[in-house]
Amino acid sequence: MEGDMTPAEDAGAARGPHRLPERVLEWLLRPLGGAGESIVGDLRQEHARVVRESGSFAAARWHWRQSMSICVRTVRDRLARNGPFYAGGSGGRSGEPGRRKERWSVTELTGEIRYAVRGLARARQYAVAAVLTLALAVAANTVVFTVLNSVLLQPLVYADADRLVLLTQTAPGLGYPEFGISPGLYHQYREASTLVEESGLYVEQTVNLTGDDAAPERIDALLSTHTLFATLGRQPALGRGFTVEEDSPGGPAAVILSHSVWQRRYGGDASIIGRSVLVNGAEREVVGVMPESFGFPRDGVALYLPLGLDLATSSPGEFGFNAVARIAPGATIDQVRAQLDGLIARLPEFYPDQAEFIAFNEAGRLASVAQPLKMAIVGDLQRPLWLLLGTAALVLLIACANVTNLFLVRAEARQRDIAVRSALGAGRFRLTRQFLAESMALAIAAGGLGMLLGAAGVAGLVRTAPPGLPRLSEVGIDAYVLVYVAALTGVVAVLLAVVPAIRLTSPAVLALVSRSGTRTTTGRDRLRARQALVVIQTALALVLLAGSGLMLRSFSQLRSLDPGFDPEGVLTFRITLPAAAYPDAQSVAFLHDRLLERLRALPGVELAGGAREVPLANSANGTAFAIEDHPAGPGELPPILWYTHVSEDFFETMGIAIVTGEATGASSSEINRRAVVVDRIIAERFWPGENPVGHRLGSTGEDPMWFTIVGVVDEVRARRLQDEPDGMIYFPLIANVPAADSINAGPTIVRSMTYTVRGSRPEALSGAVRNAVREIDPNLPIAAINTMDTIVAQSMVQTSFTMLALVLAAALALFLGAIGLYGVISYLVTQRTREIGLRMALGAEAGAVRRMVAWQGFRLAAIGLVVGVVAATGLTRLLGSLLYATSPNDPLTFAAVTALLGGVAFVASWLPALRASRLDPARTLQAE
Amino acid sequence: MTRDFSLGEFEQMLMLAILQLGPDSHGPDIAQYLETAVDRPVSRGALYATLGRLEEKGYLRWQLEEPDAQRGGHRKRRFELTGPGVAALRTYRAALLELWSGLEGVLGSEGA
Repeated sequence: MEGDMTPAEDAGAARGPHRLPERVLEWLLRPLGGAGESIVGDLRQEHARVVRESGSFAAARWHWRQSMSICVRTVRDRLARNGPFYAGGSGGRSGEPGRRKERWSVTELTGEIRYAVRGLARARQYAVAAVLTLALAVAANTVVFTVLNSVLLQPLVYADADRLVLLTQTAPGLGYPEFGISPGLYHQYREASTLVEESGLYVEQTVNLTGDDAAPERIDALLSTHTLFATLGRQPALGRGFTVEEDSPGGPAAVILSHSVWQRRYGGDASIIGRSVLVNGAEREVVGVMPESFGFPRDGVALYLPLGLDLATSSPGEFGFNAVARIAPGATIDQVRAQLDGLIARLPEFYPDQAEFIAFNEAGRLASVAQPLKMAIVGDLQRPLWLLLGTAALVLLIACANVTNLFLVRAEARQRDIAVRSALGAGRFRLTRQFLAESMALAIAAGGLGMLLGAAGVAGLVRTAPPGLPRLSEVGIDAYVLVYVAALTGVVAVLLAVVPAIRLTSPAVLALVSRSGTRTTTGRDRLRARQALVVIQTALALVLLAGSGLMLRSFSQLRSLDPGFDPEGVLTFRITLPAAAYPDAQSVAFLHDRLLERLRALPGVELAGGAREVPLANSANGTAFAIEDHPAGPGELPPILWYTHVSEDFFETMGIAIVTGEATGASSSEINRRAVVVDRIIAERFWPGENPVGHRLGSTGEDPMWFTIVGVVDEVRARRLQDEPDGMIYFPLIANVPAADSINAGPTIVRSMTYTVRGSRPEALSGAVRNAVREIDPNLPIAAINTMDTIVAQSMVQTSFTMLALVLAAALALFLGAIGLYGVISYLVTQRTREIGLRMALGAEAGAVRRMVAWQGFRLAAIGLVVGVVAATGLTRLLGSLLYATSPNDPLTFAAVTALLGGVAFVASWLPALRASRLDPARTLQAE
Repeated sequence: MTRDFSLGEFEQMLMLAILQLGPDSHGPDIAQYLETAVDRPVSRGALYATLGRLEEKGYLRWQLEEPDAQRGGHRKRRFELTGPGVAALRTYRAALLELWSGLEGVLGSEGA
């Protein structure tokens, strides 16, 4: 039976069920002795069986459900103090009679809670306000924790994912922070490393999928060595993985489908295995379909193709690849890194004839970087997510402060009742229980409602989240979230009860109450707790406001950056020409020209151009160049510069300013023209104070291929909006890039090209653009139709996302804080009605009364503001790298949020003051 | 002497399953037997609660066996019925047979 298991299932069974339910069960069943132990073992044994029958995901679900059903019964039996899971009775077989501790019994507790609920039902307004306030805060926590749990805490979907590391390089000597790995290096690593169990090399690519009745599609594919799936510990759900032959140069052409493409395009038809499809115009046999939960290196990869490289003879200098490795059990990442660094030191021995590579290696002080795969995938999200969780916790604290205030009002009304009970002999604990029962009733209602709101929030978030958020498809509410919300509910219950319990059951207060016989104790003393709450609330709100203010400022700084081009009115889309249909430079150039001509003729299109990639598309290329006027000395490295290819009219279409000279790409008639355009950064770097037009740059090596600079354009933020532009060379669309290790002998054929069209209403052009492409070649799929505005917005997604979340939290905090302040001042006015009436009867002016009351509230807020500013000064530093061109203690932001919160506090104090000054003295005095 | 009819439906099923399985009566076997033989979904919570209740009633007993690899080092319980347990089943069966007799015409026989 075991022999039937696929390796993935084997791993699922060997890994055993989730730890959390098993731990909970072990803990709950411990009092049962051997019987409890055997139940845990039974479930484990059955889990292994379900893994075999239905796969590890179904098994995990099964195990959770059954564990929960046992937990529920156990808790019920324990609470009821009888039944088979109540260990106190029979105690399993041990025969040891259970001890019966005198504690808060269940019946008493339920009695108290029932009593509390009845009380809350009578005070409906209060109950609704309290539950809603808390539920909003719990919902915020639920949403943030759900995302954090799924993205950061849960292991990746690959088997034993903790042992997976991503191998990359760094070259600090040349200022390169981190880049990929080359097939040559990977090969050496693989040969030499003793700490790596298995590894895979891969590179992402977009391809055209055609060859059946469905419309041609442009989709993301992953090219990898045949060892990748084994490294990840996952195998196709259907069919098989790649063979060694398929992964060799000229081997049989094979493809593996992702589950989603199999479902979407082929209707989940299992007979797809063995059929052939057209990938980039070439036939490939479908040999497998991956499981539904599998996506590597991210969700959305639709096809898996063998890399087909002969690694042993591959270049050591082509760093555009990635490698993932499964380290041996017991090995650490540091050991792996040390071993790889030792290998790098020996690289010149392996590649004696690669002078460029050796020079690069030495000058750059090449070193290996190994980081856990999970960190590589979700590392960027770590800081924002923990920050948001902290923010949500602050919001919850503010909500608790608010409700505690309401709670105190109610509790004070019961003070006399409490005093009586105390006099009759009820201890402090017993008295506190009443509060705890009420706070539990509130917290449970709020926890339940908050959970529901949170679930809705999570669903909404998953639908609307920006693309590029890793592991988004895995975000969902699971048992960890339930446990978290349950724990939160408990904390809320305790927080709510603790202040009234201390305040109202202290012997001093009780003595006072019973003596005076009324519920009015000394006003000042009684208010202190509530005043402290207002101060805390204001301070917390200020911290949140400061954080969101700083993010807002970062965002507006980013928005106001000049990217170097004019994104408004530009529509872009991407096309890739299959080599089968467009074999040479001539045919590619001909298509580009015809398509551009056709696009320009479309009504509503003012200009059209194209480039290998548009700015902010995150896929620029860099290589070594020779500058004729600045030859690199012996042992010196040539500069590594970014370059791309552009068509004629590209600069005009993108609104990139031409500084001097002519700035044009090339049409097909100019294939052999050696003209190039550089941006101002390059111009000033190599020809400061001069006009670079007429000077030449070219390939490195013995016999350089020179290109004459014909124009200079404005610099563009090409990779990320927040990164300073660092130079770009623009080659004509069809031209050989003079790279040192260029494998191409002839002109570089740019097969994948992003077209840009400018018009007044770019989004309305997409239909016409599709038709234009279809008219020219119906088999060409169009990908990534986007306005340039969208691309700019996407490049700011992390900032805007964090900002939005913080602003929402701060708005909630502001709202809750204002309500809290207003509530306390209003209460104060009610308490002092008689005094105010008396003052007014004695001739105090309305204005004086207003000022007196308002000051009382505003003073508290002012203290809170000061405390908040001090706290925020320290805490906003946590925002760190999320800020752009904004200091964590930006004075302007701090001043603005302090003024905003101060203003709100003023209104919240002034409104009740206004009411106080309008009191009719005669009536207030009569009332007493 | 009045007869004791304190056996629930699920309790009877469990006891019968234990008799059927004989020396293989471990928790997972019992659950799977019921799930396959009578097509009844068995919540593990109900399973172990009911086994515990039967033990409290004195109808079954168990002993611990050494664990195997799949169980994460946890020992195993093998269940068997006690004398009173078998007696209770017998009583129940007699009562049911008596109640069923002569009703085939009304309730239909098997397969009808």
